[in-house]
Amino acid sequence: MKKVIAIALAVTLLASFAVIQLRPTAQAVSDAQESKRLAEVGEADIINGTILEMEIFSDLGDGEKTI
Amino acid sequence: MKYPLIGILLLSAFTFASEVNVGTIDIVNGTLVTMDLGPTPYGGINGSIKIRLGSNEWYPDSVWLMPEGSNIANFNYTGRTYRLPTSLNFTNNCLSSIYEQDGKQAFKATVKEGGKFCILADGGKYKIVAEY
Repeated sequence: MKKVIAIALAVTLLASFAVIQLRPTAQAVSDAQESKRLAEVGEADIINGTILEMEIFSDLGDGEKTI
Repeated sequence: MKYPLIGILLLSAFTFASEVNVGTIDIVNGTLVTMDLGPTPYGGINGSIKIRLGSNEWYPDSVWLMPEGSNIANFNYTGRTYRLPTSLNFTNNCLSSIYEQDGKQAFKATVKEGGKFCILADGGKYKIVAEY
């Protein structure tokens, strides 16, 4: 009986350890999936009551970053 | 049982109307005021966007108009939007979400097929930021 309890305890401890170890990895994967990339592609002067027509074609270069 | 609920939801979507504050007036009893309402208190950009990296090209997911020196991560959605009537035929009715941070506002619109987008914002100078 004691043997069974000891094995059960050992398995529980190992499982807890595995969860603790895996959690940061899972979080990192989740963050990577959620993060989007940004690129500043121009400037605009918005005037009330008007709509500007604009075609933006941006060469990324170094203007990208992760949020 | 499901279908009446879906019908009500669809009806709600169709009856939704946008509103815009175009001015203020002080009504005085016994008087009649004649006034011409001016332009909308916002403007916008209608166009298309494409990003290139080397020989690769793609369309971003959304476009932001942000005040200079601000960071997207600090803005919170206000729950408010700007939009234009469907009859004007602008991309996605120019539906633009309004974000705020310390009294400054940023505006976000979704990029549609072929990189077409339309975004509305309060008058002012902004940097245009693509999110992908």
